[in-house]
Amino acid sequence: MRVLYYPGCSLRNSYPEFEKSTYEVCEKLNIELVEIPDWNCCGVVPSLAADNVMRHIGAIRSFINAQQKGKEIGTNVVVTVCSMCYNVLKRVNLILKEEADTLKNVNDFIDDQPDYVPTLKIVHFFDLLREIGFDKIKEKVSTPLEKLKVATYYGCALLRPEGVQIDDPENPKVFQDLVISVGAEPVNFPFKIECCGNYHITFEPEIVEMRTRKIIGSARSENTDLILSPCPLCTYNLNHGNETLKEDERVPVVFFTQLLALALGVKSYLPAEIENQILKKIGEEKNV
Amino acid sequence: MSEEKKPMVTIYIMGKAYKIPNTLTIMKAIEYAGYRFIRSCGCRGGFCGACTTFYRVKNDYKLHVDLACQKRVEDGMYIVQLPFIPAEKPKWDLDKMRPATDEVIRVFPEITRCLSCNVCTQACPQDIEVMRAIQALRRGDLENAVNLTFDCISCGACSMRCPAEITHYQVFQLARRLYGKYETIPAKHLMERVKEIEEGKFDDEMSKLMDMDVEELKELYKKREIEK
Amino acid sequence: MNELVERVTEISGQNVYSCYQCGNCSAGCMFTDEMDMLPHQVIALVQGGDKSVLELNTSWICASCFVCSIRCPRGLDVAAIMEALREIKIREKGFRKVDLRKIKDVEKLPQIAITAAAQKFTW
Repeated sequence: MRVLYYPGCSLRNSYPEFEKSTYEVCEKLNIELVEIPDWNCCGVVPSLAADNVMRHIGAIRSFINAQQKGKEIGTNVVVTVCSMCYNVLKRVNLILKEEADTLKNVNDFIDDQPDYVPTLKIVHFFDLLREIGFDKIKEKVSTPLEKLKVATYYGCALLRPEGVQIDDPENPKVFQDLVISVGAEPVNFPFKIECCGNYHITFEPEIVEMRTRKIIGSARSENTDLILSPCPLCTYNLNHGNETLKEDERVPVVFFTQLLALALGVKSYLPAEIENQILKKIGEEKNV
Repeated sequence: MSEEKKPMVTIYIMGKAYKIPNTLTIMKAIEYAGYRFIRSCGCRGGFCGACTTFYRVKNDYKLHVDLACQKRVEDGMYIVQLPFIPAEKPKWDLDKMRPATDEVIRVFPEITRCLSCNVCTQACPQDIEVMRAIQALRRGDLENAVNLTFDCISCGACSMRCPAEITHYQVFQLARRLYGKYETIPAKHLMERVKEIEEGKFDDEMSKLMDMDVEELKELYKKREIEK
Repeated sequence: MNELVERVTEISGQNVYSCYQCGNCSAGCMFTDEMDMLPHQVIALVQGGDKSVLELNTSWICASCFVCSIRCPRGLDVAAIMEALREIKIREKGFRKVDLRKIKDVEKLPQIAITAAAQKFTW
């Protein structure tokens, strides 16, 4: 399949391993990612004010470029891996679909680009995985991660608010499906949909520490090996929480594409010690 | 000298109307009207960024920005000049930084407020794609940001318009310096010349010049080699 | 309709009067330990037009996680109401909640954190 790809600043500036492992996974699963030319930062969090059009213009300019590129390559599907980007892009697209006057306002203001017609379909990478089918993914797994206990942490952005959820917001299962398909054991812990503290890490990190210590503690109580994360901000926050815990209380955090890449036998860009830990647990000792 | 009368236009300098020949630039027009520049005037060649001028044209709400030394007057132009854009340059240490966009963002975290509104691009008298360059930094593309802003003359018009209060010209200067220090190939002839200077190759000539009096220097200057 | 309700409705697009104080939002909110008052209490104050609600820390502790919004039985976007309370202060001339040039540990923070904080705490 061939889709338009919105990378997001975070993957380029702070977490290249997330993007690189995504590319590896895509090659293995025959997904062609066509990067949207000249995409703008989405803004990370959407504006919840009914009158704030300006905040979303970064996303909207990216939509216009996606629209143009999409016509060239014959698709209207935009995929993103970062859950914050997904949340913003999905919400902004919905707003433009539902509010004709906002759409007009925006198109009038952006007089240096063609008008946006809201026909793009914003999806998350997990939607693509679901479309491919987890049973098909299982067939391509060359290194089943047996005995590995993976806590599936969802965070907020993929499940809330209404209209963006990729699964049941109160009891999602799609990450567990992925973990099972790579041969590992999903850990369904009660804090899996709790907020990590989001932007508070910048000015009130104690709030993030409080949240993430609870999340990590809840995951750890099931003898978890890893926490699966879909979001760069959650990952940073969870790592921050880990640093405030004693060594034996910490649980390493990995991006879901890194776990999938490892199982598919391609480069996962995991730090060597974590990759070694995983391989040891699943019984294959390799020198990385 | 031509006896023809040039067509005249009316322009408003700080609200006061003046009739100006339509062939003059804003800068020449202000002098034609009888003002003498002590500010907002520099190289007169479109390069120093001193003569940033904001203007509107009668019956139109659109705000324009241009360099007074480059832009010709239009009928109904209302102008004001901005000789200085307020911004202290933050301190940075190139030796302690990497040529990476996140370094620039850490010195100027307000870049993260960019709304992609594009007024900066609209304001640039050098036709630089200012918003594109800021977003290139957010996309992790230092090289692109540097190449896009080569023509920046630090006039500051973009910064005066920016809703996110970014001082773009300072941001781009840091980006270019990081790129120039770490990524560009050093010019071989420049390195060689610097080495020659450090080795004292030009010391004698320099001391001779320093010892000359003004009349000798003037003679030397008059007799200098001029390449035709 | 009092002035505060008018302002909050204008910015959030939500009808605060539909809240009947069931408390679901506060029960689901995971940041209540730090808050001066619970979300549903804040809405009650807004309904009553009590402007002192703007000085509480509740809307600033809110992390926009949307659990409240998806659980409200009346379909109120509680997170949007919190944002409106923040915006009322942020839009005031001269009001400054944060200084982006004074972030502790800015060398370690990823761009995503700074951008999100800038979007929420500045105009």
